[in-house]
Amino acid sequence: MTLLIVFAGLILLLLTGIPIFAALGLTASAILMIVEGDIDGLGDAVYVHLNKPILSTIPLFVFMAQVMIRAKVIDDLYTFAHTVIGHVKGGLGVATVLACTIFAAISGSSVATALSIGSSAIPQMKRFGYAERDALGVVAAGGTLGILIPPSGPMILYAIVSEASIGALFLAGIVPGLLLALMFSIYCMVQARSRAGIDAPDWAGWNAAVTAFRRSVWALLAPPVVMGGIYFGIFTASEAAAAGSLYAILVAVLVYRNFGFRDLWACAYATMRTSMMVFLIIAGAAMFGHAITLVRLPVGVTEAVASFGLGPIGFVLVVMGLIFILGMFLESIAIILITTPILLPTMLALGIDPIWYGVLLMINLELAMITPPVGMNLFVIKGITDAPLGTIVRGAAPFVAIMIVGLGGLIAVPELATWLPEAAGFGR
Amino acid sequence: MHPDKTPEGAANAPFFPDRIVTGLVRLCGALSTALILVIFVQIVVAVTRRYVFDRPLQWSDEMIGYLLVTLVMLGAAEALRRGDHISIDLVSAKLSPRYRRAQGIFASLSIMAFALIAGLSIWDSIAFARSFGSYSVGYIEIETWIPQVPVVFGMVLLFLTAALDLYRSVRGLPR
Repeated sequence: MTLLIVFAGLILLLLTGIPIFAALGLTASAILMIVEGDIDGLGDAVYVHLNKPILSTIPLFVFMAQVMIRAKVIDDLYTFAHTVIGHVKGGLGVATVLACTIFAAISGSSVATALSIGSSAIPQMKRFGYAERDALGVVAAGGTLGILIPPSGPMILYAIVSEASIGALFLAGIVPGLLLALMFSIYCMVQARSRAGIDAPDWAGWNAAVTAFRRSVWALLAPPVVMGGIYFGIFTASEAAAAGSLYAILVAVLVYRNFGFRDLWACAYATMRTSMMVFLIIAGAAMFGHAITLVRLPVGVTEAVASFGLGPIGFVLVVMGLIFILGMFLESIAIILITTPILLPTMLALGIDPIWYGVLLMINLELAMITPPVGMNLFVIKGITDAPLGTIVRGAAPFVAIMIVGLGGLIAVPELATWLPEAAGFGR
Repeated sequence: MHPDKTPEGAANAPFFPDRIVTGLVRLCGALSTALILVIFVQIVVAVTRRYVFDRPLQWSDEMIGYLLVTLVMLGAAEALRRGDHISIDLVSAKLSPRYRRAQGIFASLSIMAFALIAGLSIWDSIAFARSFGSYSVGYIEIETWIPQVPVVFGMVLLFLTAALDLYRSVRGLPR
């Protein structure tokens, strides 16, 4: 009952349109005032949660992406993908998914992925006879891979709240992310063959393919620099982010030669603004987590689950259903920071691997980005194309089904997520 | 009469110290930006020292924690000024201009309340830590209240920026 009241209060407050951090902080204050009669410890909770060196991964990965975008290092990614695979029927859809996958591994942001790739890919697909709905759908869905394929901002947040290893989570996201990209690509090929009027550009030849590869090779090398460092135990996650940023700056200055001090400052300023948005939500979530722990809400959830006799799989299925519904209305960062502190003790009590759960959560949050009424990628695509929202939703619908299949597959076979981090020595 | 001298113009004249608050918030935003670069350089130096010179920076992680608290508190108000903080606009986006103005007032008040609660709460912690005379445990040995001070400063900045927004909403001025 307490859980329902807290949730209803928080969601009502969120729906008033006040910033998420304020809604979380005020809900925490209300809980403490009602139950304890004072607000002791809320400021401390903010300080303790922000005073974590691992949080530096957030601004540093954002900074790396900002430098690569500003120096136009990743501008040729779509051209590369489109030159290599575009000549096959349905290949332009596959090229879009491929470009999204690579871009996701650099930017760590679904919105940035959809925005950057969408502006090149959508006109190209429409030019070759793709229905507007199909072109918009593949970009909206391909963009969501940014959450699952490392480095991923939401993954970092989940790791911080759950105290799971960021390196292990990053590695755990790679195989499911690539499998989803493969499933999207197969669907694009099948869809193109079933639609009349879809054409494909001619094969541009090996010379063009090699030229496209050479122009995008610096962008293609960024993910191995970051993930290779983590996989081989050379860097911690925050060091990998700093190494990625240094790599981006060196490429921008020495190879592209279009990056000066003003650009560096502009990237750092944009990074600051993006990071503040996340950090203040972390501050609000810290207050919320402190309050719900004091009123023993997570313990209540564990007891309720025990009384219903739900096993680990039953619990995960119920939680995934709940998060799917929440995802239609709430922003992904808020979902991670609200639900994880409540559910984590129960997960651990049921023996659920937090790394596996983290990857399931990320796929569910990908779904949240393309399911109405609140789906960030839907809005991004609408922003760059001005297409009706209904058209974008219909185009993304098959990909929602594919993601649900992927989610089911990962629930049935957890090793898809867990074997790579185990192979790298995490959790031993 | 010059248009600015009309009663409406007088009503729109800012009595709130707009320029001072905005200038301070922008300056702190710039400092926050600089701290991001400092953290980046510090990590690169720490990794280089560890692998190249076999002399790791022992205090690096602790310092990054303190720098993070400071950069968040310096930058939070600038992000608010630029309208960067996320909210769920499922309902508010559909409101008429009149109700949207009321929603803006409510949002500003809620941010002010947040800043007040977090600020007062951390102030109590600082007072307690000072009376107790506690020191941090680790490579950087300082009194524990010192790295908490930026939280008070950040919450004051956030409060002032939200108050400025509130003033603009109440007077119907562009935000």
